[in-house]
Parts: sequence; C-alpha cells; structure tokens
Amino acid sequence: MKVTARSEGEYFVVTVTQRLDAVTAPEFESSCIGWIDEGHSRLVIDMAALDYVSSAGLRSILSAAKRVQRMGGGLALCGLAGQVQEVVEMAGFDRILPVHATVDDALRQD
Amino acid sequence: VRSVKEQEHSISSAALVAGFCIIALTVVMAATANSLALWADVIATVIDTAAVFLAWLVGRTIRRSNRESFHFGFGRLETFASFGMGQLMLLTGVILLAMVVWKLLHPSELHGFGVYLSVGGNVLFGAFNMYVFARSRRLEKVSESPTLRAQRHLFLHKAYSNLMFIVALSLALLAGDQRWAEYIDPVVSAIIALTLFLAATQTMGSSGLDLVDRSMEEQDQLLILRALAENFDDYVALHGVRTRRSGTRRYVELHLEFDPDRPMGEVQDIIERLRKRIAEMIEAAEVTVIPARAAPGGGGR
Repeated sequence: MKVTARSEGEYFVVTVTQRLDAVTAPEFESSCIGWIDEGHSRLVIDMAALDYVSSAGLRSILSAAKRVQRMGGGLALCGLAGQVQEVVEMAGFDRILPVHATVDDALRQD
Repeated sequence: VRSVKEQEHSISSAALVAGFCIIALTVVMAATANSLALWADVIATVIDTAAVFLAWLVGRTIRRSNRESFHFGFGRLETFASFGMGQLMLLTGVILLAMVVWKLLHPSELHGFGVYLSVGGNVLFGAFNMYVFARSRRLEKVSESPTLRAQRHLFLHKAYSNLMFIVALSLALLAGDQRWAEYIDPVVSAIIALTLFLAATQTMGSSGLDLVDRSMEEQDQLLILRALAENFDDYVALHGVRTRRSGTRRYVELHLEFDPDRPMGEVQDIIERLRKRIAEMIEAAEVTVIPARAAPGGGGR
C-alpha cells in the first residue's frame, strides 16, 4: 500500500493505492488520524488506484469517518471500481458516505 | 420433534453400531479374498469407527452435561473432536500407503469366495455410508457442527472407497489369471489412500484454525460493518472489532464509544439494536457491545 495526501482548497485528498487490508490498514488509519488531528476535517479518499480492500481496510475508513464527523467535517470516497466498489456497497458504506466518480467530482460537490 | 443435537447423536449411534458389524464382516471378506485392499479396509474401518466413536462420545457428553457448567457451549469440544477425526483419517491413509508399497513389492492375485462376498458387502456398506453422508450433510446445513462436517467427509470417503472396491474386485474377477490383475489391488488402495489424505487435510485444516480462535470469515466481517454503517450516527467512535469462531458459534465483540451525555437507556437501546441486527445477518452469532472510551489494548481490530 502507498498512501499520499495533498490539500485542494478546503479539502484534503488522500490517495491510497494497491491493497488496503489487515496488514496495511493500521498504517492507513494512523496516517488519516494524524492528518485529521492536524485540522483536516474534509477528507476525500481517492481509491481509483486501489486494487483490493478488505473489511479491516473498511474499518479504518469508518474510524476516520467517525473522527471527522466529531469535528463537524466529512469524508467522501471516490474512484470506486471492481472489487473495491463491490465491498464498499456490500458493507453499506455507499449509504453513509458520499461516493463520487472522480476526485474532481468530489471537489465540485458539497 | 427431536433437536439437531439429538439427531446428530442418533446418526453417530447408528454409524457406530454399523461400524462394529462392518469390521467383523470385513475381516471375513479380507481373510477369504487375499486382498491387501480389503485388509487395509479392515484397519481403515477400525480407525474410522474410532473416529465415529469420538463423535458419539462428544454427542453424549453434550447431551448429559450440565449447561450451567458450560456457559459458552461445547464449540471447542466439537472442534477438538473434528480435529481428532481428521488425525485418525490421516493415520488410516498412512497405514494404507505403507501396505500399498508392501503389496507392490510382493504382488499376488485375488481369489476365493471372499471376492464375491466382498463385492456384495461393499454394495451394502456403500449404501449405508451414503445414507450417513446424506443425513450428516442435511443436518450440517442446519447446525454447522464441525463434528458433522468431519463425519460428512469421513462417510463420503468411505462410500467412495466402497465404490473403488467394487470396481477393483470386479476387474480382478474379469481379468482372471492376467499378470496385470495383481496390480489392481495396490493401485486402488493407493487411490483410496490419496483421497483419504485429502479428506483428512480438509477436516484438520478447518478444525485446526477454529481451535486457534480464527476470526470470522471476511463475508461475515462485512456484514458486521454493514450493521455499524446502518447505525453510523448512534456511536461516537469505533475502537475495535474482534471476532472468533468456536464450533458452531460465532463471537463478535464491538468496542464502541458513545456520547457521554447520552442517557444509559438510549445506549442500551442502541446496543440491543446492533446485537439484533448482527444476529439476524449472521447465524449463531453472539454479539457483545462494549462501551469504550479509548482503544482497548492488544490486537484483533
């Protein structure tokens, strides 16, 4: 897994690639929590280059979503496809988090 | 209406009684047919019967035990029995393979009345083994018992072995004095041993992982997340999810942080809602929601 982040106006875009599973989820979660605690409360998670996400990966996203919610912010997902989209929908995350086709779409919304 | 556990025990009892009868008959057949495969089958039947005895013993223990002494049920005992059955199946396979090697070094043809007797006997045994397999499979769908799973693997293999014996003995009878007919017996025995290894590996693999507190399947983990997503606004933070399997049971532990200003009654309602929702989606799940203020120590997220 590789996770990078950049500011886009009031949004903070987190790009995660390769696999987000039980091995990589703790690193992803601690990175997100670090950025949130720095004050970035409007996260956009770009999953377009993510090949696989497991339940552990989704749990780390849920934890991050709860954290930004407490700060009055929000977390959106974008670039879902294939297995990643299937799993996100199976867990019902598409009903609680905004889902966009691309990062640009996510930045244009809200 | 008999409970699943009672039906499970009655299958084991029937299989145990039949096992003793089959051992006696197989000894007669092997002695009169000069067949390595049939002698190996005697050993296999003895060990298989020991495995069935193990399942029967566990069933009896569960039926007679005082539930107050086992609040978390008998999942571990059932899994342990299933693992034991797998080990016995593996032992049978090893003995069978050793006998195959011996027979290949010292080939001899099958003969005698026992060959005819064996064909008939294997048709009967095969029908009985298929019956136990079918009943175990039907009950397993309801109870997901590891003992029934092991029993299903065992009896499917036994039925398959019966079919192989019928084919081998019939071929030996048809081949008469042909030199190659001497190798039918060890070749069939080798095939039976290999399928036995496969069945033993499957049984031990699934039971072994359950014995070391394996987490629940990914599919079930996603259903837990679904329940958490459905109640997204009812808790403040998710501090951890821990799951484990024990026999037929599934244990789910959710560490959730709630708004400290929320009345206890409301928190209890949320916990109950979550527990019910997960139990609806995952059969035999026992859900515990632990209100937490900080992430609990240790892994298992």
